[in-house]
Amino acid sequence: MGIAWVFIIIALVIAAFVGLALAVYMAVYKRKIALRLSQGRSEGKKMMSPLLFFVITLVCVIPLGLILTILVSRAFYSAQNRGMEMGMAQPSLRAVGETALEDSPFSGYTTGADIKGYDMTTYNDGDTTFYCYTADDSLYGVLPRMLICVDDGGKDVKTLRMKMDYRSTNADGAASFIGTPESAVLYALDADGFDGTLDLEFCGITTQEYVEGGERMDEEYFSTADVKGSLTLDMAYPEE
Amino acid sequence: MKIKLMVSEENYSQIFKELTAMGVEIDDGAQLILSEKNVYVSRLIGRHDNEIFRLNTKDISHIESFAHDIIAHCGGDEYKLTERLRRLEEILDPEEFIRVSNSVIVSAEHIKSIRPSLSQKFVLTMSDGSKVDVTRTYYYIFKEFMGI
Repeated sequence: MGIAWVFIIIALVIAAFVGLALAVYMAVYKRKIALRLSQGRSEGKKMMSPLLFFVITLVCVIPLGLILTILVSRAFYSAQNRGMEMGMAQPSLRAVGETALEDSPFSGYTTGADIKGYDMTTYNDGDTTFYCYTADDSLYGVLPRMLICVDDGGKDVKTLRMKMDYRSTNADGAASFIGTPESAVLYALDADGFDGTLDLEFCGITTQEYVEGGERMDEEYFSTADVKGSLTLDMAYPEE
Repeated sequence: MKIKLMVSEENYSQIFKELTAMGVEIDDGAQLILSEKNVYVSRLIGRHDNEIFRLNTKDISHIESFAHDIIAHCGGDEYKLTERLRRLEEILDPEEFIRVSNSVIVSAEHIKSIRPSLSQKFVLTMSDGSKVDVTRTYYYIFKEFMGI
């Protein structure tokens, strides 16, 4: 919608310019007519009719408007693409809980099961197993690029934290989710346009259940987690 | 035979004598007209309330064709003329009178104001307050005539 407003503004500016030019010309034209009436007929230089002036102004201004529109479009879309090419798009990690899962295309999913349209890769680290599902090319842009399920090895995790650190050529940052196993059956990774590395760290606490708005659970708290696992993912796009 | 003479002042008396000697009656209301080239009339015969008037062309603001009648607007009154518009266009001084539409001839001296529009038309306000349109057909002719 943003680019559409720019085009509308350009069109309005052109219309205003043409309208103003025509108004000025009509004023000058009427003045000349009054002069002719008062001084009598003359063989002097004739003015073009207002209609002809309007058409000529339009013919001159429209190409300028088109050039301006093309330049603005190119600048707008290349800025978008530049952002994608330089890996400035930021990934996001969202937890999908049991309730949301049942109302999704992934309804009925169980840990380690195949998901249609995704290729599964398994990574083991410590007590945890990461099941990483990568979307087929045909689903790119339709469903999440990657789904991750973490198996805590049967430990009775009551509170978990999934932390993601990302790094690319021009951007880095972090995101994390804290909740219960029921609220994070799958993690959906939105990383369209992201061309960098993700470091995932899973921490599971078996002694205390997460309560939203309850005791603050910070880095120090999770450093004593009973279940831990980490994974590094290279999200770089394959070279063509 | 009755003839209307439309000749220059210098030649009028001589032609009048010769035609009268030949038994031709000179009558300003006659249908048959003897006219001299490049001589323009300074008077027209018009009827108003069953009276016949000699109208000075300098006093005529505009002449319009209305139904089957040719009406000259002169001094606030309307006078019926016998000549057709096309004929009037030929016999009236082209420096003074100009046709602005299929049905109107105006006197440039009696144009009070000209209002241009974006479409190729002018609206003339005459000295008697009448409004006359210059149609697209006569737009450039009028523009050239007025020098605008």
